[in-house]
Amino acid sequence: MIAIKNLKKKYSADFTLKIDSLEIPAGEKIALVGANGSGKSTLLKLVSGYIEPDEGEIIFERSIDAAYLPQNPYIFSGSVRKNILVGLVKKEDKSDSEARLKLLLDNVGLSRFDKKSAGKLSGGEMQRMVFARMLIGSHKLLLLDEPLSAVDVDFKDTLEEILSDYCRRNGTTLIMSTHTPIEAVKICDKLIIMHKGEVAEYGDCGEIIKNPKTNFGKAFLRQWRITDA
Amino acid sequence: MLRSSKFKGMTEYIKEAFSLLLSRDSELLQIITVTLQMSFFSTLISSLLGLPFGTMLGRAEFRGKGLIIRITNTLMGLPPVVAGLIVFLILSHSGPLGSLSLLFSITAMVIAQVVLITPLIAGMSAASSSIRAPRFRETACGLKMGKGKEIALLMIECKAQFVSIILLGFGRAIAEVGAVSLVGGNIQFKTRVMTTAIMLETNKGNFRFAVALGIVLLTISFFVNSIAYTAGEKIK
Repeated sequence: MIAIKNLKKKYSADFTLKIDSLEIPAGEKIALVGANGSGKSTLLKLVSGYIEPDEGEIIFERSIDAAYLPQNPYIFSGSVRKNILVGLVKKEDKSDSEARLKLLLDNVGLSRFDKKSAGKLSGGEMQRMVFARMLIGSHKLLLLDEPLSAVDVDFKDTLEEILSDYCRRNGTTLIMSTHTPIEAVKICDKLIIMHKGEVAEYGDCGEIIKNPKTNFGKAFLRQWRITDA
Repeated sequence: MLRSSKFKGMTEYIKEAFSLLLSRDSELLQIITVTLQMSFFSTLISSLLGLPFGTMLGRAEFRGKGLIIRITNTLMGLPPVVAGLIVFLILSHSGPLGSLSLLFSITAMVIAQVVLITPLIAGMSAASSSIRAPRFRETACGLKMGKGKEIALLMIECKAQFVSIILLGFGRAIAEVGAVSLVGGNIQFKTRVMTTAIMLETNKGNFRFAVALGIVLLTISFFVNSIAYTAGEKIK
């Protein structure tokens, strides 16, 4: 379980993330939604340990195998294969690296680009590649910042299925930010709506969509065009 | 062997210089060997020190980083004679390392060159790695890479720039006069290098030998540049 208590992080002159209390049970799949600059990425960076909070704490077993995909991940020079294999950090995962790589390349539709230079891929192909990089290892916690934002429509469904299946098989806790309502609902069980650095709504996807508690939640979901009806 | 000559036309000097080169003049060969030895080892040591330090400096975020970068940048412009003087004082008989009797040796020249080139290599590699560092660090943190692996991978990512930086270091080493003449003493058949020899021969009016050395210097620079260019193109 991840427990966040009295968390405060001033990220810029006019933005501070502030979460008094938030608990995410192990194995849950959470979609982080909200307008640009609402604090989704900052929260993911804090949980991943990339940045430190100014106040408060994030409590979870740091020894659990976590992986974080930033919004603009680095693309290593060299082949697609090299870029995906760099995601294998644990020794036990490396034993069957070739089989894992082959399966993932097939699944994300990059088999024929195996040896191609990663720098020559299109934006959508690159995103599928970094997606595969995240999933080649077995992680217990996945923190993904808009993982499917630039993926071609043709591949979205496949990648959503791959991600759901991965979490089910590994018992992975997933926290992913997204701007696409359908993505959130299809992959995740719970929804966090962020507003100006605070959690405006948190609960089951269906429940929040049916009965948002805050005015911002209502307005946001209206914008999304997801309503009870 | 080295005879002074009156001023002649440039073409004639070049012709004579080439014939001197082809004659395998023992002093000329000795000077070339010492120059290459000194330049190679000083560039090697400076690269081994400067590239990892520069990468770590470019990658890290810490209080005081700006100050360290300013100090490194200042040292990049360190006047060679000042570097030579410092090394001279350290290696002289009354200096802290005087007992090693290194003054007026190739080792002393290499030390002086390392003092000069390391900040240059460190500063340039810090600038080069800092461009990639923010995205790289966030991705590496996300993949839970260890710090050692992260720095090693970042260095590999910067390899094309590093080739140019090493080349720049070599260029400075091979072309330097002030520091090497101070700590090396420009001793014939021992510590005389191409630049100090060109100075000496020009002062003596022996332009033929000076021009021959100048041509060799340029030729070596051209070959080293060509090799580095080819290597840089291959690893891009």
